[in-house]
Amino acid sequence: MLDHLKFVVAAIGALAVPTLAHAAEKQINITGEVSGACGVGSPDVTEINLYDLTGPNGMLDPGKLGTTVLGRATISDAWCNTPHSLVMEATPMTLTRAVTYAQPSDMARKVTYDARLTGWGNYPFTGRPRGGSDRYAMGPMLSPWAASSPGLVLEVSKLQTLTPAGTEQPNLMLEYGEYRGTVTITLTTEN
Amino acid sequence: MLSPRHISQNHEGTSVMKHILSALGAAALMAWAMPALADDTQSVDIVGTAEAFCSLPTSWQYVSSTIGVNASEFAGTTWTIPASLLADAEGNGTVTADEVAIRVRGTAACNTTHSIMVQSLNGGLTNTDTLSSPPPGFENNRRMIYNANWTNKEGWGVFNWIPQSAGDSATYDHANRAPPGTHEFDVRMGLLRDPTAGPMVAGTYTDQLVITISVPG
Repeated sequence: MLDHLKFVVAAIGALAVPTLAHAAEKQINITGEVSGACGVGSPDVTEINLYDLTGPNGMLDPGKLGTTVLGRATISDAWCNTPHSLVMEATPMTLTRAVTYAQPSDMARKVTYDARLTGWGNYPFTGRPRGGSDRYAMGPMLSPWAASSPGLVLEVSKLQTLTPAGTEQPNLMLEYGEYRGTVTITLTTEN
Repeated sequence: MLSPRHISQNHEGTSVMKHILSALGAAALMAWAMPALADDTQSVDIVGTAEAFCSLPTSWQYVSSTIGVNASEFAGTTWTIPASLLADAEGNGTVTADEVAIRVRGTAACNTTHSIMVQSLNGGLTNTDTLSSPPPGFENNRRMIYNANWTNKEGWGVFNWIPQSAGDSATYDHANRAPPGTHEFDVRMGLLRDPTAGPMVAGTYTDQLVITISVPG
């Protein structure tokens, strides 16, 4: 090791000689750039299962109408290193099977819900989808943000039946079958 | 990283610079070539199930009847037919084209396709004391006619069904029709007073109509 060190010093000395001799100076600018970006990690669950939606009379279970959180998903790593916006798109829970008859007026094929997002900005952010795909935007936020522990948390509560026109109407009987909605969270840079 | 050995092998400053600049250039190119992660998206599905569900009325109310039948003859789940409408004082069955009938109604519900089965346990109004063998020359049965259907829904149920024997049944299949939701449900019970072959055996005549609504398994 000591041999190598000596050798290096000698080499630098040799290199320095021409510079001193000609009094030349070179400047090297080193620059780098970090692109504005956002990252959303995978949620701990890709499906929040609310199981049986109905009560004994075939209408929505009364226990699912209130503010009690029925299910949640957590994204532990979400960040933006630049000004950005958060967009949540949500669709109502909709009967997935195909039916050949018109929707009876006293029955429902869609269910809305509160999709409440916490962990981004200083306040909760809530969407309640009633149309095909409703869009809710937060921002632009001018500062970078990273969700602190536990992360970005999506909570579902307050179910209610919808008419075909997307109006909330209680006491509609749910048609038999599986219901499915989707909440999509997107972080978008503003630059 | 440039190793000391590498530096020692370059005896000209500019040559070293070229190598350094070249390395920086390569690094810069690598940085720009990285895919931009400007936006990012994740999705979560919200799922649930509405179970297939049907129910029949928990109570029944008198709605209407033919002449000679009173609302008071129906109580709970039993219709008591006056003896005079069944046979005369000599025991001969009343014979007439005039049907004796009553309609009762309750609230039922269904959120899917279903079937409705009606079953007559005695196969009509029958004196069960002599079910197997009435004495020769006597009658122990009068025919009944039944409806079990969703109210004011044409064809949605069993109509004008006449049981032929004890335990006989009839079934309606709702198939691909829209479910009724919460809806009124009617049962109509009629006594047919056909000619008889002889006097009727004395005793109590009964039938039990069992209505079953089922969803596909």
